[in-house]
Amino acid sequence: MNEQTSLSSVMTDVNKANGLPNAHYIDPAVFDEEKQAVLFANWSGIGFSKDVPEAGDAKPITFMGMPLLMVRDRDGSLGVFQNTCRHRGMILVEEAQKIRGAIRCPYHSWCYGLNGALRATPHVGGPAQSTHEDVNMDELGLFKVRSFVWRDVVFVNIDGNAAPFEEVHQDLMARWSEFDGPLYHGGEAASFQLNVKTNWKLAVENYCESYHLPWVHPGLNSYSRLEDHYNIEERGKYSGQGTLVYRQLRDEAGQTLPDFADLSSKWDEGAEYIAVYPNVLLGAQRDHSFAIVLEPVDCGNTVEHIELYYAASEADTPECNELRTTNAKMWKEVFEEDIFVVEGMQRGRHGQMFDGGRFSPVMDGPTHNFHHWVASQISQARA
Amino acid sequence: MGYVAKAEGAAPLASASEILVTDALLLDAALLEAHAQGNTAELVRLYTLAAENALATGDERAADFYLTHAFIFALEKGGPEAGVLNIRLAERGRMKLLDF
Ligand code: FES
Ligand SMILES: [Fe+2]
Repeated sequence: MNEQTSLSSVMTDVNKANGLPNAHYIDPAVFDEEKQAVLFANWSGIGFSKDVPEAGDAKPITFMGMPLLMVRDRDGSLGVFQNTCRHRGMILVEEAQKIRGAIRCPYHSWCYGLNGALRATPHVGGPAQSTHEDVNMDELGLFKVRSFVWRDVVFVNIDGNAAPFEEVHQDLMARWSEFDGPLYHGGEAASFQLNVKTNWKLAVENYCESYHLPWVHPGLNSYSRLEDHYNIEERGKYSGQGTLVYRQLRDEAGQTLPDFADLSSKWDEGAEYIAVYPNVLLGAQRDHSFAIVLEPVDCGNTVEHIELYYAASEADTPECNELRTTNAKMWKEVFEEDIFVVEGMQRGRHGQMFDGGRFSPVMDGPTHNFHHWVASQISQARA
Repeated sequence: MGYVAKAEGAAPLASASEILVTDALLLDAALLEAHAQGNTAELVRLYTLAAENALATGDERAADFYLTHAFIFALEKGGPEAGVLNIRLAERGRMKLLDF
């Protein structure tokens, strides 16, 4: 048990508040505390539905040490299970694969269906006897983890105690309901990972704010003027930033990517970038969207899993392939430009006199909103 | 490979005809190979064959052992054999009947 960090200065008004104390970024004990209180107690992103497109597709994912398995069932539903055999606790599936019949444990060959049900326990009652009166197969299915897919991101609530996803994120889902139409993943170029030497929260914090845009992303000039941005901050819910000057990418012939259907005029030049607490970062624009799942590796390392989506598939609009490639390249550059700041802030938190920092009362609301939420989760767990 | 050692050590095979012994050795080698390659379809076929051979020599226990293995790999692989093998094993009181 770590010595508890003080969160009172975090929970106060942004004008007076400090950021989260250093220990929340550099202390493994606090990392473990947040793992339970923040990430496992809420709806965390672990991956993408498009990674298991067809019946039988199974993908193991280790999330903060927890072995999980995403499986597409024959009815099209996606299930997330603990990837641990109910017999002796062997890891069931090591690599992404297509399960044709059943998941067979490589140790003693207990077999599970795509819905997690235990189907066979060979020799459990002695040689060639695959039943035993004390081994009730109906009670020994794989442990299922609550999951919810939104905007292709697979969210899970590992401790099972959070309110339903649609309830927790009701406002945000309504806010972006115009974007509820189908999303088409942009293919190979639209999928990339960045390994960043930072605590996962610094990636959220940097994403939420527009304050840094003119300094860190000067190339985004046209949409980096601070007055063209607004803060998004909903206490206890989510935060981020919006722009009023989103410009569509054009190729030399002036062609643009197709728009999502039936959008209101708000989105003609509007776009929004929102952190879905705790660890998912989403962007919505008229002609494409993206999702970033932050995988916390340890207190100083994070993998950013980035995926881009469009209003039409590659197959239906091959003429747009080049635009999609350019778009992915542009975003990759933007996200790479952020690496030095999130890594620099991480190193800065080894400065023992740093007190969490002083916010700009005007510009840092979205970051403070996130800190307030994190601190609330931790306080609740400590209570 | 535990399975092969068992097959080689199984007494009824040693008392069978010359031809059956030769077949059994070939079968063992083929099983080893199928295990090494993770060839599930071949494992189903060979374990089913091993079960038929055991039944031919009257070794019910060995037959059930092989049928169990044939079934498990059939279940893993998917396809119609799993259902058939499950019925056979259920009828022999070796496992419960599953829905397919
Ligand atoms: S640990 Fe999985 S079958 Fe024994
Ligand atoms: Fe940035």
